[in-house]
Amino acid sequence: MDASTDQIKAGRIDTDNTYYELYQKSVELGTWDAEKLMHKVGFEEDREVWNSLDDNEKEQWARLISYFIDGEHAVAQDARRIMKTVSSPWFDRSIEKEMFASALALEEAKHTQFFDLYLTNVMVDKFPQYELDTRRGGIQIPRTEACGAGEMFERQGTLQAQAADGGDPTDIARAATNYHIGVEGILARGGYFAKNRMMQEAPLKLLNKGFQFISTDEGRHITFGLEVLNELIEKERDGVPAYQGVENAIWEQAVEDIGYITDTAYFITESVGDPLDVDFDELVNRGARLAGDMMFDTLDLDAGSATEFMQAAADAMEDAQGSDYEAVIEKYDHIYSAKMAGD
Amino acid sequence: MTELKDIEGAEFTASDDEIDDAIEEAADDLGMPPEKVEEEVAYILDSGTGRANNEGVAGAAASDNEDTNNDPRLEALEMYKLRQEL
Repeated sequence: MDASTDQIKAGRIDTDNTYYELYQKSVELGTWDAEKLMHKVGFEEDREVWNSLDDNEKEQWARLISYFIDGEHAVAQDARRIMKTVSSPWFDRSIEKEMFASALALEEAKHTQFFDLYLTNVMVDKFPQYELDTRRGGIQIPRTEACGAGEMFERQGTLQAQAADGGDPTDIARAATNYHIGVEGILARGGYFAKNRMMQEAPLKLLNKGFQFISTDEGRHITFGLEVLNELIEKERDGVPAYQGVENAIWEQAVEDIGYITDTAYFITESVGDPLDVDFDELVNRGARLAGDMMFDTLDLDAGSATEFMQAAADAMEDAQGSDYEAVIEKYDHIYSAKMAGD
Repeated sequence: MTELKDIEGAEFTASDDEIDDAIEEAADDLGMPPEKVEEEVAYILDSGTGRANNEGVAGAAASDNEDTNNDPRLEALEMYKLRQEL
């Protein structure tokens, strides 16, 4: 049997702190080994299913996975900025927040590794020019560049840099909203909703297992982000001058992001004919409900309302209808190919 | 942290007894206290929030989850058992 689960007395670390609990759960649940998962489950069944799909079904998977690999890579790069932000004087410089942020950084890197290994070993025929790293002269995958997710990840980098490099509490609120509510809480969770539907027709077992571990890690990141936002909101409500405007910043950022997210939802569903039956309307509704839960139940936001947010999502659905992504994909395919050739 | 059987926000198909039995069996296999296994499975589902918001596990899973009868708690338990091998 394992040793007793009784808590061990700590010194400078506050083990009753929520951030400590999140950190400890990252140690217990988030330290899975992506390579071992690949060896344990194996690629064979997934390759067999993948090779049985028609090109349109593969394209739908490729559109979903494109934004996951580029998104995980982007958040892994930005994790260092989160570590800097949560150790700023705007918070209480608690070691527990920094400990969790360090675990988050490792987990986002591992998610990037999982998708990198999976794409390379199963889906490579849909990603012939995938391997260029964005820091080595590469760009996001053309499919990511073509849809709202690409723009959202670029915005994320800007917001995180502003927050980490001397940003005030409203900058931090925008960055945390974009990252933890927008990217992780809606875009990624919407992606899990889509993969659940797509798995019914195309059960990619190893991919599903990877998604389960990743979504579990992301759940802790979202809880962390909401705790951070809650701290900022409480200081605003306590009347601390420097924190005024936090709630409005959260609301404005969430409304901006729902446009990018809804465009991405259209990109992975109706624009490709939705061969694996995700359903664009249901996907957007699920995302909007998740957003409403986070903003108006968990954070009890006074700015905006759930009804206004649903309307913003509905407007974004109208805007997305009929978007043509092919020309953008073709343009970036060309740029990517030129870079691969060393031009 | 919320007790596994108190988590809300998902459709649960297994009975409390089935959950208890599955936790006991897994704990025995893993050589861990059942309370710890139950705590970890609950955290997989709710990330400390009390609601089953892990879309990747609590939502409809891939079509390979016959063993879990589509109950998110059993799906999370299966995931935890695999995690202990990784």
